[in-house]
Amino acid sequence: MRKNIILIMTTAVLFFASLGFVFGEPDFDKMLEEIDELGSFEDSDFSCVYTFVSEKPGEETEVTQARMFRRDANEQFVMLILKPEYQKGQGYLKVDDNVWFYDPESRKFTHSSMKENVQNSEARNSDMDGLSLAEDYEVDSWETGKLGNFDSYILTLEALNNEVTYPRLKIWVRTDATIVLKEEDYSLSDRLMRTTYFPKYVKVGDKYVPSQILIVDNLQEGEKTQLTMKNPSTAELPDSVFSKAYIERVNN
Amino acid sequence: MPVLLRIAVRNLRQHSSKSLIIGIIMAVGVMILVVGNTLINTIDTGIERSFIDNYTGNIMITGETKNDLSLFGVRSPSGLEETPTIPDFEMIKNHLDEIPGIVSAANQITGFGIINIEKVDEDKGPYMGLLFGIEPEQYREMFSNTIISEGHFLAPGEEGILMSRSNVDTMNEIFELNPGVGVGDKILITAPGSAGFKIREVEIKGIYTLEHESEAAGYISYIDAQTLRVMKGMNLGNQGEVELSDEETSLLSDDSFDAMFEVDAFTGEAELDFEMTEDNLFSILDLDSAGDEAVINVEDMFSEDDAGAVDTEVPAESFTWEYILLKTENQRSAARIISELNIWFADNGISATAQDWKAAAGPFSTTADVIRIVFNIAIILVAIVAIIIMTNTLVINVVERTAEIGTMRALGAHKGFIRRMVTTEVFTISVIFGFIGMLVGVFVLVIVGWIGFEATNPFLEILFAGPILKPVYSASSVFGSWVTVIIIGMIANIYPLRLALKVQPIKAMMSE
Repeated sequence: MRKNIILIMTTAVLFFASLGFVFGEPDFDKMLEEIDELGSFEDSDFSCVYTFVSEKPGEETEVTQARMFRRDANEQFVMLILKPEYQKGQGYLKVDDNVWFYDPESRKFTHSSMKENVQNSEARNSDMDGLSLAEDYEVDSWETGKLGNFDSYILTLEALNNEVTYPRLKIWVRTDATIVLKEEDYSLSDRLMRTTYFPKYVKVGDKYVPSQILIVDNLQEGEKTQLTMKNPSTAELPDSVFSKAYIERVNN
Repeated sequence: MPVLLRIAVRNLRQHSSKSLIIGIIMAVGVMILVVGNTLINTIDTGIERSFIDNYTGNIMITGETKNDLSLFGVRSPSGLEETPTIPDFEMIKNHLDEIPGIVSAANQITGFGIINIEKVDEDKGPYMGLLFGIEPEQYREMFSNTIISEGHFLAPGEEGILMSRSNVDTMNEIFELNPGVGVGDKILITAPGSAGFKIREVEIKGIYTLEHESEAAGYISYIDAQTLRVMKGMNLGNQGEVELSDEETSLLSDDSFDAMFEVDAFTGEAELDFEMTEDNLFSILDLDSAGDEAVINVEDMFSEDDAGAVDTEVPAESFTWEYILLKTENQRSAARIISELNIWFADNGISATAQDWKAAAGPFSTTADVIRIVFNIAIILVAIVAIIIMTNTLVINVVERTAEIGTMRALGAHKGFIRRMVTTEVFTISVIFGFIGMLVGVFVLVIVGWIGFEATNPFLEILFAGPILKPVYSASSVFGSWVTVIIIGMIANIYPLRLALKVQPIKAMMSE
């Protein structure tokens, strides 16, 4: 009889402990999917204007304005440089995993990659694309912490493929809303390469898009780029926008 | 002195076996020094020639920078600091015409470009190219080490690129091209510059090989300066600044990153007033800034004559250069001219600087320094070993002559006399056997030159100053070695001399 009581109690303790474990740890795979879903426009097109302001020690501040067109459902984007004047009309076209850069002066395209920087800024082509964290990364470890006034889950993500720009990420996700506040990008040797802050979001339809982003280069002290997003839209774009022909014609 | 010399010679004869041992050590020492110094001279000359004759010249004039500047750009922590253009270029050029000792001059711009080939699979390449923008005529006159194996050297005013055979082969390998690209084919170069990225299609006008190998020289592709200027965004001038709102720069001014998260991240719902239609599709570049109304005015659509491209053409005779390279009559005159030029720049308030070929070669000149340091350490080690061996032999010599020296002291010889006598003995051996060693060393070098060792790889070719090792003699190094061994002999003599002077006459006579 005593043995049975001990067995029942032990089973009960293990059961409730396992329940606690299950309820204590959020479903991070689902969290990554939610982040992707909130930051990607799978059911509509997306366009906006980005302003890149880059600071480098001892150098003049560089400003670039670009109009962005995204069709996340097809993994496509087009980015056209609006300013400065001498870069006006330069464009980036991404179709699947290929990125092309267009220079209107020579009227030529060259192949680039998602890992390349956007002009001389700290932003990379991959930053301009829709999110695909759930597809490209898995959660390796997690902890909780506070970022400013916000409680956050701090997730360490390991890459699942070689296509990604960084093999390891650390992201701060708000506990009360599935949005990323901060991201640290690490190299294969676990060196911190850059840190990205997302202090402001704007609601675009039913999605949340960072309206201000700060990218800090952790290898080159003092180098940072602020991206500001304006004029967002989810209006449908003509199919012809996502083509080399469009970037060429827009310059004619 | 003649008396001392006679005594010294007599003593050396009496202790002929020991004198011979010390002499042979000294002769071998001189021989090693002569051969070693001459080989260092040869290597020095080789490295200097390979850089100076290939692409650095004797003097490099540039604009001033905070960080080290070489022909490969500024060595800044970020690696992205721009190379300044030379200020008051015309004034400097006019001044250079008046300086005696300058044999030739060439202007240059340096850039890096990502080389791609159209109609090649996207997953192949790209290939990184080092570009020297030149004025073909003056550059060819100054650096004649390139042998055109296909095509031709760039003609004055001609647009195109000249690549090395090794560059073209590597490129064909990377792009898996068979048959590969060659003269007449076009390549796409994407280069970063102050105007962002620029793409240029450039025709390969010629392929070259090097007459004499040189570090990094094979990686250089020579391109017309005009094309490189455009790619680097030089001569663009001020084309208007972009006006920024506070919101667009607010994050940059704050280094306390966590403070950004003190207020709620959500700033509300965006107004979605942008609509892209077939009508406004091609006038998208008319949007002035993010702050403007996003709805496009169809009437302002781009017309044929209003292309987004900016005219970045620069006049053919441009004064926009990053480097002036000078060849001088010899290295000594180069040092003088560098000094004179830097004073002249300072006096005239020109923020330019003149430096030697080592600064121009930048990271690649360290090879020369490393080799020189290694050889110098080897010679110092040889000298230390020689001093120890000679000191030991001389000590034994003195100990064996204790009675003799003691007797001389008893007969009234002063310490000064003994000092001069022992020193004269060592000096005599050093001079005679040092001379013999010097002759043997020269003989060895003559044989090395006669055999003519071949450089089996490009690195050895740089060291040998050509495809075959030809020792470069210098009177200073040959006679310097002789003098060095005499000095080493004198240093080695210090301790035995002390022992000799300590010999007490009575004890010395009792020891016999």
